[in-house]
Amino acid sequence: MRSRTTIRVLAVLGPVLAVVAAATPAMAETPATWPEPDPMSTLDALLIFGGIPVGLAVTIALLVMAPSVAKGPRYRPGLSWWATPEWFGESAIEGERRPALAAGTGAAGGATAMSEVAVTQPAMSEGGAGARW
Amino acid sequence: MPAGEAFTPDQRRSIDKAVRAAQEASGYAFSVYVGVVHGEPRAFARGLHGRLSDPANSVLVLVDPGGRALEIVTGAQVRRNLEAAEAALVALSMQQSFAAGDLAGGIASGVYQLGDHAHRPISLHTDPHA
Repeated sequence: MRSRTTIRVLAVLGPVLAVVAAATPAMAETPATWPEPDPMSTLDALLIFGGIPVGLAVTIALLVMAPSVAKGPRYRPGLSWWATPEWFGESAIEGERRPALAAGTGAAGGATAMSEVAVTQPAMSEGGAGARW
Repeated sequence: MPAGEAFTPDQRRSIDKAVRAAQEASGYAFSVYVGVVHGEPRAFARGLHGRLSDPANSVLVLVDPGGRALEIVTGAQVRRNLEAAEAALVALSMQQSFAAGDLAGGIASGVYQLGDHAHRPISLHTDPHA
């Protein structure tokens, strides 16, 4: 039991003594003045104190904007709409060129497709629903 | 909104997919028009619907994002399965999406719903294997 206690005391004191012994050379000389740093060029100063903050700001801005840029333009209700008209499924404008339909509509020549369309009101299409937002 | 394209390729694909799914589910033709409306939206939509190759068996969905107008026009045959009340319900859900700024999502989900509602019940009397 006695030898165990000795080992414990040595285990605590050993590292402490080693640290104190290693520290003595550092205490040998107290510096009297601040060490003189190498002079910094204006370019270096600009890069460090200007470049890094600006770079950080640009990086954060890009991270914020990246998702919306990737998703493309977003529809905002209330703003005007300039996109070209699009059709999904069968297009009524293409259907205009079908001979079978052209005979039935009996449209007077000369008018554009759009203005012509607004006048045609076949009794067939009465059902459905509408909404505004 | 910048001039040119209304949808991204992904959005266009999702709407195309919805149109195809609705046509397969219901057996009716679906057409979606997204663009400017000239004159009164309802009359314009009915005019477009009348110009489709088979109006009686077609559903036309018109969306005017700038004029904030939505019209769903159903043909005479389609109306037997897709009632005005059902179309109004779909219009309401699409309107909610559009007001929140989700144009493509609103169109796609609306077309899916229309296809579901217009689903033709299979007649078991004439063809038991259908």
